Amino acid sequence: MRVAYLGALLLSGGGLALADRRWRLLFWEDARRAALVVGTGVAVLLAADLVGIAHGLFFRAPTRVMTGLLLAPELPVEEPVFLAFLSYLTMLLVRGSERVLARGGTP
Amino acid sequence: MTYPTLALGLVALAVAVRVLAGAVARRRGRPIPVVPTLVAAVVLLALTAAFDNVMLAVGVDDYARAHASGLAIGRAPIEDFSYPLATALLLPGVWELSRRRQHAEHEATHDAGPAEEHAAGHAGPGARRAG
Repeated sequence: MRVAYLGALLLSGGGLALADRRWRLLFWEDARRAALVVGTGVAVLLAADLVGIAHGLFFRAPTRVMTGLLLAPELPVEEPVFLAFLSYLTMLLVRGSERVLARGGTP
Repeated sequence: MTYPTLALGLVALAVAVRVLAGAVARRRGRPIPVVPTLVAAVVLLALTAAFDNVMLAVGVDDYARAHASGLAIGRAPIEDFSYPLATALLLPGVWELSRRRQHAEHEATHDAGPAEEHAAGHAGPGARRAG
């Protein structure tokens, strides 16, 4: 199952998008700002990844759950997808709890 | 460079941007609420503890242990928690800064109040300044 990890990320990301659409939290609230925020998260963390890779901190082990496609040495294609997922999840948690607090407990 | 240095640098960058964004947002009359950041951080750190351990166990991810501090939660090196911590600190600041000015002033008049009061009430004295 070489697509297991990528598939799990995309499936979970799809779940986040459904929650986003249902409660209009991020992309369904303001797509321009959402793209800017998620893009910033991916860019900053990808930069940290590249610094780590350059210093030999991160390397990929042979695994059967990843595609093996690399964007750069030691940087699998799954990584930016994971970073986008992490950034998206972060902002849904932030926006969701803002909403709950603003309404005094009702989502 | 070691992994602890990278992790601390990343979190320091996130804190710096957050403080800067907080100052700008406050001047615009719409401080960044503290509680949503805390909620996001706690949930993300818990999820990281769970899933990082699973992924390390099945070998999705690997890292040079020699360069890590050795502090870990299960198998998950403490440095791995810098990524979710950084997004929780950094991204709400970027979201607030990306607000169009006019929009910010307009919205501040009708929906910032309760969330902010709530945030300040729960986070205690200084919550406004900390945002």
